[in-house]
Amino acid sequence: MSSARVFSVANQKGGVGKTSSVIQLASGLARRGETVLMIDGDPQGNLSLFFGASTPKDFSQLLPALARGEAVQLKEYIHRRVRRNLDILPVNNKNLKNEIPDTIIHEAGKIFVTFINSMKEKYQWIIMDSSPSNSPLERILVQSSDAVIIPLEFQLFSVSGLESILEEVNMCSTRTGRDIQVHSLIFTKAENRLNRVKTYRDVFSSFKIPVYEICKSEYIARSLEKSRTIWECGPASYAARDYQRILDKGFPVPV
Amino acid sequence: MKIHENKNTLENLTSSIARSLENTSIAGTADYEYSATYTAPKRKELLGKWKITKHTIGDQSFLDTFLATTWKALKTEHAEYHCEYEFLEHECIKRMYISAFSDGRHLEYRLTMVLLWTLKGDVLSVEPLIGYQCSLSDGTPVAIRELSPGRDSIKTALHLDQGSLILIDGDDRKEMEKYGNV
Repeated sequence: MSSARVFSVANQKGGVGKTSSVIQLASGLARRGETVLMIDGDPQGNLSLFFGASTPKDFSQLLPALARGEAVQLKEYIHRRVRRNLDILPVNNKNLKNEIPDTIIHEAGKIFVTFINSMKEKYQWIIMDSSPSNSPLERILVQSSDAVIIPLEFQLFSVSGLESILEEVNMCSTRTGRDIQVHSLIFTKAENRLNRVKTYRDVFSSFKIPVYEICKSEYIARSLEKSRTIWECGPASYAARDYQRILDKGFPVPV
Repeated sequence: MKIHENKNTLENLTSSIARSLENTSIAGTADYEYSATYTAPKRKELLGKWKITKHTIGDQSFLDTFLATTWKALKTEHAEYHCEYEFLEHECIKRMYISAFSDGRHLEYRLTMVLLWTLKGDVLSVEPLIGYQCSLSDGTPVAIRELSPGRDSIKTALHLDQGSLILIDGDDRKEMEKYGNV
């Protein structure tokens, strides 16, 4: 099996669809028959909540364990088969950032990259959710990624978040000496009826980067409430078609 | 008070993003992919008969709002509400029926209206052409009114998603399902 590609889904602006995108992309890849590990790197724990995931130890305990140089028993941390081919490393500690000092997170970051590399042989895709902030926690997720997916909205503050995350990616690339790529921008909650959408489309279509739109969809809202993926709740919906297009174009089947 | 306006915030921001992207390693080829809703042939999908499955005004059901306003003086029970939209090539026929019992009387309200409709992107514009509304008590008309053509078109946000049609006009939100083709 080929080595996994590792993605973090990041934007410092909240509510832009990071967790929702992780759910739909990861479950879409798993549905395609490929093995996927999701890592819930957002202490809010919404990804873990969605999949009803719980393990003896979670992401918040993994980082200090790595910082202490402890051997990690994966079965204690990974909730297997939340869906077919789909595993998750959950987080169940909303106070992670208060309880774990930045120095420990920073220290764990170096070993976290090694941890992720060891997981690459076990999965075909690793997708990490992150919280809407710019702290050492988000930084170690970006640093350990091969590429970053940036969800955003047709909204000024969201685009402002994009500028920050691009700087973050470039800084992490320089610091680690790795070529961390930006995979794509995903405009979630796209609505044609809004006049300002045309302005954003004109601007972003001139950028040299893959940009995808996901339509604003009742099915996504409904699917999240029912803990069902878009593939389970509305596989023929426009939102599912939009996510399918990202999978087809941006996630080629591993050789 | 002097207000400093920065009218070009988005423009400035996108310029600096463009500069950042020049220094960023990009996976894949640059392409802008529109949502499927944008490219879908919606007009054709709209043709046919749609019945309302859920209609709310803010947090309240349309029926409760109707009873609390139009029949506010009456104590009603067993109220029912049916409404359908039939989209033809250029016209749309709206048929609404509300019934309830009050002090043993059977009350009915009927509205039929022909609308001219156009669809541009996700915005449905309708213009009342002709119609009538009437109220009946135990089958006897008590009020009939002809509806005159509207001068202004009414614009409504429209979403079509996997067989569901959603119309949103401010607080007014209608969910419909298709039950017949033209």
